[in-house]
Amino acid sequence: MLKLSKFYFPLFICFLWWFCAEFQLVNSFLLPHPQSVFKAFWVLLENGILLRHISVSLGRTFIGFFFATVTALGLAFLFYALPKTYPFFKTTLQFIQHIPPLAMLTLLILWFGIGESSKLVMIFLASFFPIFINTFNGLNKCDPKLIEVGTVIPMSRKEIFFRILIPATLPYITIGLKLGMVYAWRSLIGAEFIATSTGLGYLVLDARELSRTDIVMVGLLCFGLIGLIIDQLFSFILSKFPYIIERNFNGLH
Amino acid sequence: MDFIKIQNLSKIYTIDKNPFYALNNINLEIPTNKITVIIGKSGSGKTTLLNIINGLTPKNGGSITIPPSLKIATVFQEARLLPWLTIAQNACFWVPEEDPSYLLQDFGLLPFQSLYPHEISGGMAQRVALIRALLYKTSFILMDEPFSSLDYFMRLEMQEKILSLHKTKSLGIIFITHNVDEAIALGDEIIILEQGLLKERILNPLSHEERVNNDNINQLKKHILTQINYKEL
Repeated sequence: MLKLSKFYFPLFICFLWWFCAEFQLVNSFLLPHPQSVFKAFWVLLENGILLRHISVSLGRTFIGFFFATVTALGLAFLFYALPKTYPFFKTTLQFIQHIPPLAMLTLLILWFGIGESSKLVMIFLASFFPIFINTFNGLNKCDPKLIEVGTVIPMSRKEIFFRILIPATLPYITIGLKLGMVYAWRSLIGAEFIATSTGLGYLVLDARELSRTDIVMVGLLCFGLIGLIIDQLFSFILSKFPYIIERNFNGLH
Repeated sequence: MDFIKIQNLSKIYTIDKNPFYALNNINLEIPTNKITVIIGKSGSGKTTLLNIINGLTPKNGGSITIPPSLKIATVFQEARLLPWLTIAQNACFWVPEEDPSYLLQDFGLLPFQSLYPHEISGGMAQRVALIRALLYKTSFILMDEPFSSLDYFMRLEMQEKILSLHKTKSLGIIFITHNVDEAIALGDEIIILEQGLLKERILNPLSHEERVNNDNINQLKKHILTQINYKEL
């Protein structure tokens, strides 16, 4: 019963949508009928256009996310290992963090061209900070008393790193990756709104130009659904950790 | 008989630009096959001394000579179990190749071996910490008030366990406490620290059996209490 309960409200919204469209309570241009949205979805699916756009979008997201992950993890570990270097970069990082990647789009296109790279840089900027901040926080939050359990023996630095520091930080890293992925996916539409002919963002934009609100709805539904799937994937990975950060990490006994 | 030799050991902290002696010129020989209890009020330097021996705190002066063959393990004031490992995995954290079952059985923890630290009580966690030290094939354990968070009965049980381990495995121990009864019950030697100075070293005249229910205890207790100026605040 509990598992089903999370579908009640979405089903209710779908019903409301159908109800409003069926009895023409709302102009069908503003709110296309579910049937016509499904038809548009089916056509796009059948001729392969939808899957092509989705795969292009996912490809961009993963590549941008991959580079963001490598850089963010690398920098977080570097700053942790060399704590004296962090103050030099702290303000700069905080400064960049507050600039919405979308606001930088114009400059990014001028700097990196209208090709793939400007889009990747945008996705990179969106997902870098949650990964970096969570990892760096996690590393610094690792209880020195747990590290001492390794140093009294003494374990080698390598052993302390892999057997104490990394497992202690892993839940934070996973949360950072999850947020990074979500941000990357959300920044994608901005990146694909300009100067492109592929991707889900382009699909929505193109449909807007043609006044095809049914296709716009298909695009939005795809964004939401794929985002949900990504979310679930990370939640599944997080559930593999037998301990929960908030509750048990602070309380040693 | 081997000793841990401590010579002219000092530890100085700077507080508001003034030197503060956490340990002031300590000279001590600690036998590696006996139970040595270090007792003193908070801030007397007990933990600092222990942490210098196990290498967690750097010293400022003097020397510590530890017999090269001596493998030292530590039991902290808190259990310090790793929250992502089970009880069994925590028990053999220092020696993953060892099988902890027989010790878990011995301490009554075998049924709980697949639980995680947050699922067990503080007393159980502290026993796991002791098993972790014992599994390390150690002949010498440093204990920093390991039973201070346990209830009275669990404390007595653990004290008996320590004494029997000391007898059967000729385990050497440095045991820090601020509990005079515990010091008398466990210590073959009792060392009184006060404000970083070694105040007195007492050889416990009572045998292990005599340490429970004996009139001499009160006399010894009175002496120790006077020595650590328990009334002076």
